[in-house]
Amino acid sequence: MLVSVKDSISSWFRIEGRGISGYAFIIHRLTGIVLTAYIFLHLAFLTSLTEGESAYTSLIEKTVNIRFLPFDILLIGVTIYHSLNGLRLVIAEFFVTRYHRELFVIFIIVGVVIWIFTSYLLYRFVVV
Amino acid sequence: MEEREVTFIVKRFYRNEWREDRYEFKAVRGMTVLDGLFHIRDNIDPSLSFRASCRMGICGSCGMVINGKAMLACSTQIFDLGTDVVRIEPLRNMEALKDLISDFDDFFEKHRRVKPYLIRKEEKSIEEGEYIQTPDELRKYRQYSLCIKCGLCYDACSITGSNKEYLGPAALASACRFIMDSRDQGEDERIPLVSDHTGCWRCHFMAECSEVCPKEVDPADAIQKLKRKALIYSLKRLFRR
Amino acid sequence: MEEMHTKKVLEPVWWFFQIITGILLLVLVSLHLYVTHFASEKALDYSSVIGRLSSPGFKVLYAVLLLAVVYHGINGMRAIFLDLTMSDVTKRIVNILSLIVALLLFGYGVYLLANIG
Ligand code: HEM
Ligand code: SF4
Ligand code: SF4
Ligand code: FES
Repeated sequence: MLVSVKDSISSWFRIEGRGISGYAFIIHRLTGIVLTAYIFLHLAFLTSLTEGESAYTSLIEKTVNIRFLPFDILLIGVTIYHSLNGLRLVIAEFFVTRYHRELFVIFIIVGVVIWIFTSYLLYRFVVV
Repeated sequence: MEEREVTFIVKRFYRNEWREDRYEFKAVRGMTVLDGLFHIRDNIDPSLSFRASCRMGICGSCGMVINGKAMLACSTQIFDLGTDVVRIEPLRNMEALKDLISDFDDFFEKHRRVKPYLIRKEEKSIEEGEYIQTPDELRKYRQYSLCIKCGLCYDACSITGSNKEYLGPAALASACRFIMDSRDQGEDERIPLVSDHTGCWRCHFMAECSEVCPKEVDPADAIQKLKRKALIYSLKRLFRR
Repeated sequence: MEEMHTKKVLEPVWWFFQIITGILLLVLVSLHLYVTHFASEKALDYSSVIGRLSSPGFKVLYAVLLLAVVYHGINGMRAIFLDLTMSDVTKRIVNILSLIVALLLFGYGVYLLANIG
Protein backbone atom coordinates (compact mmCIF):
# COMPACT_ATOMS: atom_id res chain seq x y z
CA MET A 1 0.00 0.00 0.00
CA LEU A 2 1.31 3.42 -0.91
CA VAL A 3 1.05 6.56 1.17
CA SER A 4 0.63 9.76 -0.81
CA VAL A 5 3.33 12.39 -0.51
CA LYS A 6 0.77 14.77 0.94
CA ASP A 7 -0.19 12.34 3.71
CA SER A 8 3.48 11.62 4.39
CA ILE A 9 4.27 15.28 4.79
CA SER A 10 1.32 15.78 7.10
CA SER A 11 2.54 12.79 9.11
CA TRP A 12 6.02 14.30 9.51
CA PHE A 13 4.74 17.71 10.44
CA ARG A 14 1.71 16.73 12.50
CA ILE A 15 1.63 18.85 15.63
CA GLU A 16 -1.43 17.36 17.34
CA GLY A 17 -0.57 15.07 20.24
CA ARG A 18 3.17 15.71 20.02
CA GLY A 19 5.50 16.80 22.76
CA ILE A 20 8.88 18.53 22.89
CA SER A 21 10.75 15.82 20.99
CA GLY A 22 8.12 15.85 18.24
CA TYR A 23 8.43 19.60 17.75
CA ALA A 24 12.23 19.28 17.83
CA PHE A 25 12.05 16.79 14.95
CA ILE A 26 9.67 18.95 12.91
CA ILE A 27 11.88 22.03 13.21
CA HIS A 28 15.05 20.01 12.58
CA ARG A 29 13.64 18.64 9.36
CA LEU A 30 12.42 22.06 8.16
CA THR A 31 15.71 23.78 9.02
CA GLY A 32 17.67 20.93 7.38
CA ILE A 33 15.76 21.47 4.13
CA VAL A 34 16.21 25.26 4.30
CA LEU A 35 19.97 24.93 4.92
CA THR A 36 20.40 22.45 2.08
CA ALA A 37 18.56 24.79 -0.27
CA TYR A 38 20.88 27.53 0.92
CA ILE A 39 23.99 25.57 -0.19
CA PHE A 40 22.78 25.99 -3.77
CA LEU A 41 22.09 29.69 -3.31
CA HIS A 42 25.43 30.25 -1.58
CA LEU A 43 27.46 28.57 -4.34
CA ALA A 44 25.49 30.50 -6.95
CA PHE A 45 26.35 33.79 -5.25
CA LEU A 46 30.02 32.86 -5.09
CA THR A 47 30.06 32.63 -8.88
CA SER A 48 30.28 36.43 -8.93
CA LEU A 49 33.78 36.16 -7.41
CA THR A 50 35.02 34.60 -10.64
CA GLU A 51 33.59 37.51 -12.62
CA GLY A 52 35.76 40.23 -11.16
CA GLU A 53 35.54 42.90 -8.50
CA SER A 54 32.63 44.97 -9.84
CA ALA A 55 30.28 41.97 -10.21
CA TYR A 56 31.05 40.86 -6.67
CA THR A 57 30.82 44.31 -5.12
CA SER A 58 27.48 45.11 -6.73
CA LEU A 59 26.08 41.80 -5.51
CA ILE A 60 27.32 42.48 -1.98
CA GLU A 61 25.85 45.98 -2.09
CA LYS A 62 22.50 44.48 -3.07
CA THR A 63 22.47 41.68 -0.51
CA VAL A 64 24.37 42.97 2.51
CA ASN A 65 22.10 45.80 3.55
CA ILE A 66 19.35 46.60 5.98
CA ARG A 67 16.59 45.24 3.73
CA PHE A 68 18.04 41.75 3.83
CA LEU A 69 18.92 41.89 7.53
CA PRO A 70 15.70 40.09 8.61
CA PHE A 71 16.57 37.21 6.26
CA ASP A 72 20.14 37.10 7.58
CA ILE A 73 18.85 36.97 11.13
CA LEU A 74 16.36 34.26 10.23
CA LEU A 75 19.02 32.23 8.45
CA ILE A 76 21.43 32.43 11.34
CA GLY A 77 18.61 31.38 13.67
CA VAL A 78 17.91 28.39 11.45
CA THR A 79 21.60 27.47 11.50
CA ILE A 80 21.88 27.83 15.27
CA TYR A 81 18.79 25.70 15.85
CA HIS A 82 19.85 22.96 13.44
CA SER A 83 23.40 22.88 14.78
CA LEU A 84 22.49 22.69 18.44
CA ASN A 85 19.63 20.25 17.94
CA GLY A 86 21.93 18.32 15.60
CA LEU A 87 24.44 18.10 18.43
CA ARG A 88 21.67 16.81 20.68
CA LEU A 89 20.83 14.18 18.05
CA VAL A 90 24.49 13.19 17.80
CA ILE A 91 24.56 12.72 21.56
CA ALA A 92 21.31 10.74 21.57
CA GLU A 93 22.01 8.59 18.52
CA PHE A 94 25.66 7.95 19.21
CA PHE A 95 26.09 8.13 22.98
CA VAL A 96 23.11 8.28 25.38
CA THR A 97 19.45 9.01 24.85
CA ARG A 98 18.61 9.56 28.49
CA TYR A 99 19.16 13.31 28.78
CA HIS A 100 17.66 14.39 25.48
CA ARG A 101 14.79 16.40 27.01
CA GLU A 102 17.07 18.30 29.39
CA LEU A 103 19.54 18.90 26.57
CA PHE A 104 16.75 20.30 24.41
CA VAL A 105 15.80 22.87 27.04
CA ILE A 106 19.43 23.80 27.67
CA PHE A 107 20.21 24.09 23.95
CA ILE A 108 17.14 26.23 23.31
CA ILE A 109 18.18 28.66 26.04
CA VAL A 110 21.82 28.70 24.88
CA GLY A 111 20.64 28.99 21.27
CA VAL A 112 18.40 31.99 21.92
CA VAL A 113 21.24 33.78 23.73
CA ILE A 114 23.63 33.09 20.83
CA TRP A 115 20.95 34.11 18.35
CA ILE A 116 20.34 37.48 20.01
CA PHE A 117 24.06 38.14 20.27
CA THR A 118 24.86 37.15 16.68
CA SER A 119 21.84 39.11 15.41
CA TYR A 120 23.26 42.19 17.09
CA LEU A 121 26.66 41.53 15.50
CA LEU A 122 24.99 41.09 12.10
CA TYR A 123 23.10 44.34 12.59
CA ARG A 124 26.36 46.13 13.30
CA PHE A 125 28.03 44.42 10.36
CA VAL A 126 25.29 45.48 7.96
CA VAL A 127 24.65 48.99 9.23
CA VAL A 128 28.22 50.15 9.70
CA MET B 1 -18.72 11.22 44.54
CA GLU B 2 -17.59 13.81 42.01
CA GLU B 3 -19.72 13.72 38.88
CA ARG B 4 -19.37 15.65 35.66
CA GLU B 5 -21.18 15.85 32.34
CA VAL B 6 -18.73 14.81 29.60
CA THR B 7 -18.95 14.57 25.83
CA PHE B 8 -17.27 11.80 23.86
CA ILE B 9 -16.81 12.57 20.18
CA VAL B 10 -15.99 9.28 18.50
CA LYS B 11 -14.65 9.06 14.97
CA ARG B 12 -16.26 5.92 13.59
CA PHE B 13 -15.60 3.79 10.56
CA TYR B 14 -18.13 1.44 9.03
CA ARG B 15 -18.37 0.04 5.51
CA ASN B 16 -15.79 2.40 4.05
CA GLU B 17 -17.37 5.47 5.54
CA TRP B 18 -16.20 7.76 8.30
CA ARG B 19 -18.54 9.59 10.60
CA GLU B 20 -18.48 11.28 13.96
CA ASP B 21 -20.88 10.62 16.80
CA ARG B 22 -21.31 12.65 19.96
CA TYR B 23 -22.26 11.00 23.21
CA GLU B 24 -23.05 12.87 26.39
CA PHE B 25 -23.16 11.20 29.77
CA LYS B 26 -22.30 11.67 33.43
CA ALA B 27 -18.82 10.50 34.32
CA VAL B 28 -17.70 9.89 37.87
CA ARG B 29 -14.21 10.31 39.28
CA GLY B 30 -12.09 7.24 38.64
CA MET B 31 -13.85 6.30 35.41
CA THR B 32 -11.47 5.45 32.58
CA VAL B 33 -12.05 6.27 28.92
CA LEU B 34 -12.67 2.55 28.42
CA ASP B 35 -15.33 2.61 31.17
CA GLY B 36 -16.88 5.51 29.29
CA LEU B 37 -16.96 3.52 26.05
CA PHE B 38 -18.54 0.54 27.84
CA HIS B 39 -21.09 2.92 29.33
CA ILE B 40 -21.96 4.24 25.87
CA ARG B 41 -22.20 0.76 24.41
CA ASP B 42 -24.38 -0.52 27.25
CA ASN B 43 -26.64 2.51 27.65
CA ILE B 44 -26.58 4.73 24.59
CA ASP B 45 -25.41 3.04 21.39
CA PRO B 46 -24.94 -0.75 21.25
CA SER B 47 -23.39 -0.50 17.76
CA LEU B 48 -20.18 1.17 19.00
CA SER B 49 -17.22 -1.18 18.52
CA PHE B 50 -13.86 -1.20 20.26
CA ARG B 51 -11.31 -3.72 21.49
CA ALA B 52 -10.50 -4.43 25.11
CA SER B 53 -9.72 -7.44 27.22
CA CYS B 54 -7.77 -7.04 30.43
CA ARG B 55 -8.92 -3.54 31.46
CA MET B 56 -5.66 -3.19 33.38
CA GLY B 57 -3.07 -2.10 30.86
CA ILE B 58 -1.54 -5.47 30.20
CA CYS B 59 -3.11 -6.98 27.07
CA GLY B 60 -2.52 -4.05 24.75
CA SER B 61 -5.94 -4.27 23.06
CA CYS B 62 -7.40 -0.87 23.82
CA GLY B 63 -4.93 1.46 22.13
CA MET B 64 -6.68 4.42 20.52
CA VAL B 65 -6.15 8.10 19.85
CA ILE B 66 -7.54 10.20 22.68
CA ASN B 67 -7.47 13.96 22.18
CA GLY B 68 -4.78 13.63 19.53
CA LYS B 69 -2.47 11.31 21.43
CA ALA B 70 -2.25 7.51 21.35
CA MET B 71 -3.17 6.03 24.73
CA LEU B 72 -4.55 2.93 26.36
CA ALA B 73 -8.22 3.67 27.02
CA CYS B 74 -8.20 1.47 30.12
CA SER B 75 -5.26 3.30 31.68
CA THR B 76 -6.53 6.81 31.07
CA GLN B 77 -8.93 8.40 33.51
CA ILE B 78 -11.45 10.79 32.01
CA PHE B 79 -10.92 13.42 34.72
CA ASP B 80 -7.18 13.38 34.12
CA LEU B 81 -7.61 14.60 30.54
CA GLY B 82 -8.17 18.16 31.67
CA THR B 83 -11.20 18.64 29.43
CA ASP B 84 -14.81 17.50 29.37
CA VAL B 85 -14.78 17.03 25.60
CA VAL B 86 -12.99 13.83 24.69
CA ARG B 87 -12.22 13.17 21.02
CA ILE B 88 -11.53 9.53 20.23
CA GLU B 89 -10.36 7.96 16.98
CA PRO B 90 -8.75 4.67 15.98
CA LEU B 91 -4.94 4.41 15.71
CA ARG B 92 -3.87 6.50 12.73
CA ASN B 93 -1.10 4.49 11.11
CA MET B 94 -3.20 1.37 10.67
CA GLU B 95 -6.26 0.67 8.58
CA ALA B 96 -9.49 1.01 10.50
CA LEU B 97 -11.68 -2.11 10.46
CA LYS B 98 -14.70 -0.89 12.33
CA ASP B 99 -15.06 2.14 14.60
CA LEU B 100 -12.14 2.07 17.03
CA ILE B 101 -10.87 -1.34 15.93
CA SER B 102 -7.70 -1.21 13.83
CA ASP B 103 -6.05 -3.79 11.64
CA PHE B 104 -2.87 -4.93 13.41
CA ASP B 105 -1.80 -7.37 10.64
CA ASP B 106 1.10 -5.25 9.29
CA PHE B 107 2.21 -4.42 12.79
CA PHE B 108 2.39 -8.07 13.85
CA GLU B 109 3.89 -9.15 10.54
CA LYS B 110 6.75 -6.69 11.08
CA HIS B 111 7.22 -8.02 14.56
CA ARG B 112 7.41 -11.54 13.15
CA ARG B 113 9.93 -10.40 10.55
CA VAL B 114 12.62 -9.51 13.12
CA LYS B 115 12.56 -13.12 14.42
CA PRO B 116 11.43 -12.40 17.96
CA TYR B 117 12.76 -15.56 19.55
CA LEU B 118 16.12 -16.86 20.76
CA ILE B 119 18.30 -18.08 17.93
CA ARG B 120 21.01 -20.58 18.89
CA LYS B 121 23.80 -21.82 16.68
CA GLU B 122 23.53 -25.06 18.63
CA GLU B 123 20.79 -25.91 21.06
CA LYS B 124 21.64 -27.37 24.43
CA SER B 125 19.94 -30.64 25.22
CA ILE B 126 17.43 -30.63 28.05
CA GLU B 127 19.77 -32.70 30.22
CA GLU B 128 22.40 -29.98 30.03
CA GLY B 129 20.01 -27.57 31.77
CA GLU B 130 18.95 -24.01 31.07
CA TYR B 131 20.96 -21.12 29.65
CA ILE B 132 22.27 -19.32 32.70
CA GLN B 133 22.15 -15.53 32.79
CA THR B 134 23.43 -13.06 35.38
CA PRO B 135 21.18 -10.23 36.68
CA ASP B 136 23.37 -7.76 34.79
CA GLU B 137 22.87 -9.64 31.56
CA LEU B 138 19.13 -9.62 32.19
CA ARG B 139 19.10 -5.87 32.85
CA LYS B 140 20.61 -5.22 29.40
CA TYR B 141 17.36 -6.13 27.65
CA ARG B 142 14.66 -6.53 30.31
CA GLN B 143 13.10 -3.14 29.68
CA TYR B 144 12.68 -3.92 25.97
CA SER B 145 10.98 -7.20 26.78
CA LEU B 146 8.12 -5.45 28.57
CA CYS B 147 6.41 -4.48 25.30
CA ILE B 148 2.71 -5.48 25.15
CA LYS B 149 2.33 -4.84 21.39
CA CYS B 150 -0.31 -2.21 21.91
CA GLY B 151 0.71 -0.25 18.81
CA LEU B 152 0.74 3.15 20.51
CA CYS B 153 4.32 3.83 19.41
CA TYR B 154 3.34 2.81 15.88
CA ASP B 155 0.80 5.63 15.93
CA ALA B 156 3.15 8.19 17.46
CA CYS B 157 6.01 7.71 15.01
CA SER B 158 5.81 10.07 12.06
CA ILE B 159 7.85 7.70 9.89
CA THR B 160 5.49 4.74 10.26
CA GLY B 161 2.92 7.23 9.00
CA SER B 162 4.88 8.00 5.84
CA ASN B 163 6.66 4.74 5.10
CA LYS B 164 4.50 1.62 5.13
CA GLU B 165 7.61 -0.57 4.92
CA TYR B 166 9.28 0.90 7.99
CA LEU B 167 9.48 -1.78 10.67
CA GLY B 168 8.49 0.72 13.33
CA PRO B 169 9.46 1.23 16.95
CA ALA B 170 7.93 -1.90 18.50
CA ALA B 171 9.44 -4.41 16.05
CA LEU B 172 12.84 -2.72 16.23
CA ALA B 173 12.74 -2.63 20.03
CA SER B 174 11.92 -6.31 19.91
CA ALA B 175 14.91 -6.96 17.65
CA CYS B 176 17.07 -5.05 20.11
CA ARG B 177 15.62 -7.10 22.96
CA PHE B 178 16.99 -10.29 21.37
CA ILE B 179 20.24 -8.83 20.11
CA MET B 180 21.07 -7.62 23.63
CA ASP B 181 20.23 -11.01 25.13
CA SER B 182 23.38 -12.91 26.14
CA ARG B 183 21.71 -16.23 25.25
CA ASP B 184 20.96 -15.18 21.69
CA GLN B 185 23.30 -15.97 18.79
CA GLY B 186 21.18 -14.67 15.95
CA GLU B 187 23.16 -11.50 15.17
CA ASP B 188 24.04 -12.67 11.66
CA GLU B 189 20.39 -13.13 10.83
CA ARG B 190 18.82 -10.25 12.66
CA ILE B 191 21.19 -7.35 12.08
CA PRO B 192 20.88 -7.48 8.27
CA LEU B 193 17.09 -7.50 8.73
CA VAL B 194 16.98 -4.34 10.80
CA SER B 195 19.81 -2.52 9.06
CA ASP B 196 18.34 -1.77 5.65
CA HIS B 197 16.22 1.03 4.19
CA THR B 198 13.16 -0.13 6.11
CA GLY B 199 14.95 -0.68 9.42
CA CYS B 200 16.65 1.46 12.00
CA TRP B 201 17.96 4.03 9.48
CA ARG B 202 14.43 5.35 9.07
CA CYS B 203 14.44 6.43 12.70
CA HIS B 204 15.43 10.06 13.25
CA PHE B 205 15.13 9.99 17.00
CA MET B 206 11.90 11.86 17.21
CA ALA B 207 11.37 9.88 20.43
CA GLU B 208 7.60 10.32 20.37
CA CYS B 209 7.34 6.51 20.47
CA SER B 210 8.91 6.51 23.91
CA GLU B 211 6.64 9.34 25.04
CA VAL B 212 3.45 7.36 24.41
CA CYS B 213 4.67 3.89 25.43
CA PRO B 214 2.61 2.75 28.42
CA LYS B 215 5.23 0.22 29.52
CA GLU B 216 8.26 2.51 29.40
CA VAL B 217 9.92 0.24 26.90
CA ASP B 218 11.71 3.28 25.43
CA PRO B 219 11.87 2.00 21.85
CA ALA B 220 13.68 5.18 20.75
CA ASP B 221 16.58 4.22 22.99
CA ALA B 222 16.51 0.62 21.73
CA ILE B 223 16.72 1.79 18.11
CA GLN B 224 19.75 4.02 18.73
CA LYS B 225 21.47 1.00 20.32
CA LEU B 226 20.58 -1.02 17.23
CA LYS B 227 22.16 1.61 14.99
CA ARG B 228 25.44 1.37 16.89
CA LYS B 229 25.30 -2.43 16.88
CA ALA B 230 24.65 -2.39 13.14
CA LEU B 231 27.56 0.00 12.54
CA ILE B 232 30.00 -2.16 14.49
CA TYR B 233 28.72 -5.26 12.75
CA SER B 234 29.17 -3.62 9.34
CA LEU B 235 32.65 -2.35 10.08
CA LYS B 236 33.68 -5.85 11.13
CA ARG B 237 32.23 -7.15 7.88
CA LEU B 238 33.99 -4.54 5.77
CA PHE B 239 37.39 -5.18 7.28
CA ARG B 240 37.16 -8.94 7.38
CA ARG B 241 36.85 -9.10 3.60
CA MET C 1 20.76 -17.36 6.62
CA GLU C 2 20.48 -13.74 5.48
CA GLU C 3 23.39 -12.40 3.48
CA MET C 4 24.62 -8.97 4.43
CA HIS C 5 24.88 -7.31 1.03
CA THR C 6 27.38 -4.57 0.39
CA LYS C 7 24.58 -2.01 0.20
CA LYS C 8 23.29 -3.00 3.60
CA VAL C 9 26.82 -2.97 4.97
CA LEU C 10 27.22 0.59 3.75
CA GLU C 11 23.95 1.97 5.10
CA PRO C 12 25.32 2.19 8.70
CA VAL C 13 28.44 3.86 7.33
CA TRP C 14 26.36 6.59 5.62
CA TRP C 15 24.68 7.22 8.97
CA PHE C 16 28.08 7.36 10.68
CA PHE C 17 29.32 9.94 8.16
CA GLN C 18 26.14 11.97 8.74
CA ILE C 19 27.05 12.16 12.43
CA ILE C 20 30.74 12.92 11.76
CA THR C 21 30.00 15.63 9.19
CA GLY C 22 27.41 17.06 11.60
CA ILE C 23 30.06 17.53 14.29
CA LEU C 24 32.52 18.84 11.72
CA LEU C 25 29.96 21.35 10.46
CA LEU C 26 29.25 22.64 13.95
CA VAL C 27 32.93 23.68 14.14
CA LEU C 28 33.50 24.74 10.53
CA VAL C 29 30.24 26.66 10.06
CA SER C 30 30.87 28.60 13.28
CA LEU C 31 34.38 29.39 12.11
CA HIS C 32 33.14 30.38 8.64
CA LEU C 33 30.49 32.72 10.06
CA TYR C 34 32.97 34.22 12.50
CA VAL C 35 35.52 34.94 9.80
CA THR C 36 33.06 36.35 7.26
CA HIS C 37 30.73 38.36 9.48
CA PHE C 38 31.93 38.83 13.02
CA ALA C 39 35.72 39.15 12.99
CA SER C 40 36.03 42.36 11.00
CA GLU C 41 33.71 44.90 9.40
CA LYS C 42 35.64 44.63 6.14
CA ALA C 43 35.50 40.83 6.02
CA LEU C 44 33.31 40.76 2.93
CA ASP C 45 35.21 43.38 0.93
CA TYR C 46 36.45 42.03 -2.38
CA SER C 47 40.10 42.30 -1.39
CA SER C 48 39.54 40.53 1.94
CA VAL C 49 37.67 37.66 0.31
CA ILE C 50 40.25 37.23 -2.41
CA GLY C 51 42.99 37.53 0.17
CA ARG C 52 41.52 34.72 2.24
CA LEU C 53 40.86 32.51 -0.74
CA SER C 54 44.44 32.93 -1.94
CA SER C 55 45.86 31.34 1.16
CA PRO C 56 46.33 27.56 0.93
CA GLY C 57 45.18 27.15 4.55
CA PHE C 58 41.80 28.68 3.79
CA LYS C 59 41.50 26.76 0.55
CA VAL C 60 41.93 23.46 2.39
CA LEU C 61 39.55 24.56 5.13
CA TYR C 62 36.90 25.52 2.59
CA ALA C 63 37.38 22.30 0.65
CA VAL C 64 36.71 20.32 3.84
CA LEU C 65 33.70 22.50 4.66
CA LEU C 66 32.39 22.02 1.12
CA LEU C 67 32.75 18.27 1.27
CA ALA C 68 31.12 18.05 4.69
CA VAL C 69 28.22 20.34 3.87
CA VAL C 70 27.45 18.70 0.53
CA TYR C 71 27.59 15.22 2.01
CA HIS C 72 25.55 16.16 5.07
CA GLY C 73 22.91 18.16 3.21
CA ILE C 74 22.38 15.71 0.36
CA ASN C 75 22.51 12.59 2.54
CA GLY C 76 20.04 14.33 4.86
CA MET C 77 17.70 14.99 1.91
CA ARG C 78 18.16 11.38 0.80
CA ALA C 79 17.03 10.24 4.25
CA ILE C 80 13.96 12.43 3.98
CA PHE C 81 13.03 10.98 0.57
CA LEU C 82 13.59 7.42 1.79
CA ASP C 83 11.11 8.13 4.58
CA LEU C 84 8.42 7.97 1.91
CA THR C 85 6.87 4.66 0.91
CA MET C 86 8.57 3.70 -2.33
CA SER C 87 9.39 0.77 -4.57
CA ASP C 88 12.93 -0.61 -4.85
CA VAL C 89 13.29 1.05 -8.24
CA THR C 90 12.39 4.46 -6.85
CA LYS C 91 14.84 3.88 -4.00
CA ARG C 92 17.60 3.27 -6.52
CA ILE C 93 16.64 6.42 -8.38
CA VAL C 94 16.78 8.42 -5.15
CA ASN C 95 20.20 6.98 -4.33
CA ILE C 96 21.62 7.62 -7.78
CA LEU C 97 20.13 11.10 -8.03
CA SER C 98 21.54 11.98 -4.60
CA LEU C 99 24.98 10.89 -5.71
CA ILE C 100 24.75 12.91 -8.93
CA VAL C 101 23.55 16.08 -7.20
CA ALA C 102 26.25 15.72 -4.54
CA LEU C 103 28.97 15.28 -7.15
CA LEU C 104 27.72 18.27 -9.15
CA LEU C 105 27.62 20.49 -6.09
CA PHE C 106 31.01 19.37 -4.92
CA GLY C 107 32.47 19.70 -8.40
CA TYR C 108 31.13 23.23 -8.78
CA GLY C 109 32.51 24.17 -5.37
CA VAL C 110 35.94 22.85 -6.30
CA TYR C 111 35.75 24.74 -9.58
CA LEU C 112 35.03 27.95 -7.63
CA LEU C 113 37.88 27.28 -5.20
CA ALA C 114 40.27 26.70 -8.08
CA ASN C 115 39.23 29.85 -9.93
CA ILE C 116 39.05 32.36 -7.11
CA GLY C 117 42.10 33.98 -5.60
C1 HEM D 1 26.29 22.78 11.95
C2 HEM D 1 26.15 21.65 12.57
C3 HEM D 1 25.19 20.57 12.15
C4 HEM D 1 24.95 19.50 12.91
C5 HEM D 1 25.58 19.18 14.27
C6 HEM D 1 23.98 18.69 12.23
C7 HEM D 1 23.50 17.50 12.67
C8 HEM D 1 22.58 16.72 12.02
C9 HEM D 1 22.24 15.38 12.35
C10 HEM D 1 22.81 14.58 13.49
C11 HEM D 1 21.31 14.96 11.49
C12 HEM D 1 20.69 13.59 11.45
C13 HEM D 1 19.38 13.55 12.08
C14 HEM D 1 18.79 12.21 11.82
O1 HEM D 1 19.45 11.18 12.04
O2 HEM D 1 17.66 12.19 11.37
C15 HEM D 1 21.06 16.03 10.60
C16 HEM D 1 20.15 15.98 9.59
C17 HEM D 1 20.11 16.86 8.55
N1 HEM D 1 20.94 17.96 8.38
FE1 HEM D 1 22.27 18.62 9.75
N2 HEM D 1 23.66 19.29 11.07
C18 HEM D 1 24.39 20.44 10.97
C19 HEM D 1 24.38 21.32 9.94
C20 HEM D 1 23.67 21.15 8.77
C21 HEM D 1 23.77 21.97 7.64
C22 HEM D 1 24.70 23.19 7.52
C23 HEM D 1 22.90 21.48 6.73
C24 HEM D 1 22.59 21.94 5.35
C25 HEM D 1 23.44 22.32 4.52
C26 HEM D 1 22.23 20.35 7.28
C27 HEM D 1 21.25 19.61 6.64
C28 HEM D 1 20.63 18.52 7.18
C29 HEM D 1 19.55 17.79 6.59
C30 HEM D 1 18.89 18.06 5.25
C31 HEM D 1 19.22 16.76 7.46
C32 HEM D 1 18.11 15.73 7.31
C33 HEM D 1 16.97 16.11 8.15
C34 HEM D 1 16.06 14.98 8.46
O3 HEM D 1 16.47 13.80 8.45
O4 HEM D 1 14.90 15.28 8.74
N3 HEM D 1 22.73 20.17 8.53
N4 HEM D 1 21.87 17.10 10.92
S1 SF4 E 1 12.42 7.66 17.78
FE1 SF4 E 1 12.41 6.67 15.79
S2 SF4 E 1 10.89 5.06 15.96
FE2 SF4 E 1 10.55 6.45 17.68
S3 SF4 E 1 8.99 7.88 16.94
FE3 SF4 E 1 10.98 8.72 16.46
S4 SF4 E 1 11.47 8.12 14.38
FE4 SF4 E 1 9.81 6.82 15.15
S1 SF4 F 1 6.89 -0.45 22.59
FE1 SF4 F 1 5.44 0.37 24.08
S2 SF4 F 1 3.99 1.55 22.83
FE2 SF4 F 1 5.10 0.21 21.44
S3 SF4 F 1 3.82 -1.60 21.23
FE3 SF4 F 1 5.31 -2.01 22.86
S4 SF4 F 1 4.27 -1.41 24.75
FE4 SF4 F 1 3.10 -0.51 23.07
S1 FES G 1 -7.82 -3.43 27.90
FE1 FES G 1 -5.93 -4.52 28.06
S2 FES G 1 -4.52 -2.87 27.86
FE2 FES G 1 -6.41 -1.81 27.94
